[in-house]
Amino acid sequence: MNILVCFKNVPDLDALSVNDWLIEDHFQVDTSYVRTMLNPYDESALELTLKLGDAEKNDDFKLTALTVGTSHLDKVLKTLYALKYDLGVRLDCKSDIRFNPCFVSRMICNYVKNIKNHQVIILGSQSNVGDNAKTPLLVAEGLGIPCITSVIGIKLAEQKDCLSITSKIDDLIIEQIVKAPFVLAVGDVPTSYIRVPTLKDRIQYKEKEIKVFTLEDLEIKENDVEEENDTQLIELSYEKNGRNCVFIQGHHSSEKANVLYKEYLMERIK
Amino acid sequence: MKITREQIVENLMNIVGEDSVITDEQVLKTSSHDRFRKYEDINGVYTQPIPAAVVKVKSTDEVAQVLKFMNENQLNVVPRTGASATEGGLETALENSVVVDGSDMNKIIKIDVYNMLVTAQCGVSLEVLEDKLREQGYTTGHSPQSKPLAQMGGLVATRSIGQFSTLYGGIEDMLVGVEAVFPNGNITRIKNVPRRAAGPDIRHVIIGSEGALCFITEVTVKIFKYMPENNLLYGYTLDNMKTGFEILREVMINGYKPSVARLYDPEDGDYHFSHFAEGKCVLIFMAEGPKAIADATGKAIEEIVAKYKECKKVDEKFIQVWFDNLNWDPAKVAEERVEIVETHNLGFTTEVSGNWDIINEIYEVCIERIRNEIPDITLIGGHSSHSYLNGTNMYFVYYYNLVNIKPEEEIDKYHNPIQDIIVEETIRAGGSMCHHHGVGKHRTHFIQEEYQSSYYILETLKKSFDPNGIMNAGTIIPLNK
Repeated sequence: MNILVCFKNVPDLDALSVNDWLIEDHFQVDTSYVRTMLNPYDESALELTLKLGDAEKNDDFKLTALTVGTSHLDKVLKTLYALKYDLGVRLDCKSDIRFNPCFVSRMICNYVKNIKNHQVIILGSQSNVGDNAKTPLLVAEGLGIPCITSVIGIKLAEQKDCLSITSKIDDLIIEQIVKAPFVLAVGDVPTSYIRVPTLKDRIQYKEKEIKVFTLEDLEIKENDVEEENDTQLIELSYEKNGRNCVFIQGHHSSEKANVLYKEYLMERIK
Repeated sequence: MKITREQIVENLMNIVGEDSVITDEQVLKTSSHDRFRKYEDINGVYTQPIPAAVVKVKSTDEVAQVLKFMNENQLNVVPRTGASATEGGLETALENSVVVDGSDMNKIIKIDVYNMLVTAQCGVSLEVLEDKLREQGYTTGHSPQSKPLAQMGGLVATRSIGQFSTLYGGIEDMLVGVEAVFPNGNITRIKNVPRRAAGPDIRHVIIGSEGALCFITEVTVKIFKYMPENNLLYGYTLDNMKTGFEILREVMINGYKPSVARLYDPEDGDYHFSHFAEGKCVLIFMAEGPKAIADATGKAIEEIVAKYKECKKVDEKFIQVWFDNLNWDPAKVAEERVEIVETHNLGFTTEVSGNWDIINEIYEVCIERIRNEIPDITLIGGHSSHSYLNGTNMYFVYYYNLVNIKPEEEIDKYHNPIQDIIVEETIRAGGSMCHHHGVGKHRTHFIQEEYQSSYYILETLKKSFDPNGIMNAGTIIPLNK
């Protein structure tokens, strides 16, 4: 089975101070000063797929990691090589595509159609940048295959070319055996951190080539970036989620705990 | 006749009251260790003797009575305040130990802006104290990564140091006077004066004693005018740690006192700096104080660094954002636990120091040996974060994957072998095996090599002040097994 996991590297927005949330004229928060990290939903997708690989002994089971962006992402792809992803793919793109899921999904679809077919395509539901939550659905639409959303678990299934998929919608947990091809949109997986490669593996895979494809390779024109976009960003603003804070006074812990219980918890427990 | 566990609890309740003696099983279990055994704790495995009780003391007099009782019955006492220790100093090494917790002694007694002093009880949180001082335009100048967790008694007991140490010094340079209780119940106070020459400086018997000699109940530290508006931040990328050490040395020996002087290697810096310094070392300075001094210090740093062509200046905003996210608060500790459970990847640090002529050798040899000798390593790197006229520290940071082990095997398979390499190589080169975390209980097997002939003084201190060996047994000086 060939599995493609699409991921995005995003700025760690928790590291931005309130004062740094200044919306510039061109609808952009300057996040260049904060470190980047794997988009949490994508991180879950990458780890779920690695676990699937741990369980699968068949040599035909191949994992590909794909991202869209510039060469600074090659480091992340090399880390995924060290975690035993078989192929790292970067679709080279310098444009601002944060609010352009149509274009992102077209790039992914064209890669799958024109360069390498995959039976299963897994993406995180959404990212903290753009927050469109559309890409997995648009990829499925573009390829004309089904999409399962809010996925929280993926397991091998006994049936050929099938996987057992667990998804969660509100309080309902759905388990289904699904025959490839399909797209999975990974949601709130309870365990979300990706494993860490050893130094030895990092060194071993440091020189392994990343496959880079240009827009031309994908048969996409430069000016399609904007033409493809069905969304116009008209305003970006900072949502202030202020919280009130009360310091509980008391001479010692038990006195403070008493105040907490009587004044704040007792009513709620009832 | 040996006193029973029940009698210990009963006697303690008679001294401090029933409400102040905690015997809840889970509290006792988690009070049997500190962050050195965080992996055991996460897995609910407790390998140390479970203490008989945790006693929340509320006054110096209560501390004196508790210690006297424990001494008379030859029972082990583990003093504690913020419980942010990382080196096993809070492990209850003997059966029927009692953890004496000073965190409820949390009054700021006096802020004296005329004499530039602040007096606080041992359980005052450094962050609370610092915030209070800053509201009035002052600072302690002390800012360890544990600031949101640590409390004043523990900071003095572990010989703490903060991120601005190159200007303000370590806690030993800040402590003016102190009150402590010895195991026989004797309450001692060292008064607050600007300097003294009346014999040895006995503050140093107490500073860094790690609860192995006495219980610190009150501290008085210096305060300084807080002038963040004058702060100047500088960041540079460079290729080699050796060059970085040379620059740090040049800044220090020419008499400049930046508050921050830090040098990261590419591996340690990767998590923080890779978005602007991929594969590079990073050198960071901050100048602060009165504007004229900050400006002069900043100008000198720029001139010194300019002589080293491999250094490239980076936008100070990168450094500011990193600095704003450096400290460890309870949320970060909780997040780390989740990450460890999910990834089976665990990280620790070991800090040492050495003179300028040996520090690069210590750095290179330790990194090389750990890379080659320790299995399943995922990261080994380090940084220098506290510089002096004569040398600097090296703070090794290491992570490893836990492969095929039970929680209780983690320390022997990974943590101790790594720490042993760092300590062995540092002592061999002529450095000190502990820079600011304290000895705790897991470096004690090197203590005689660390002290060499001066071990006589340390051993005599222990025997004199704690003849029954009831104070934090196994800390600094190893247990005789």
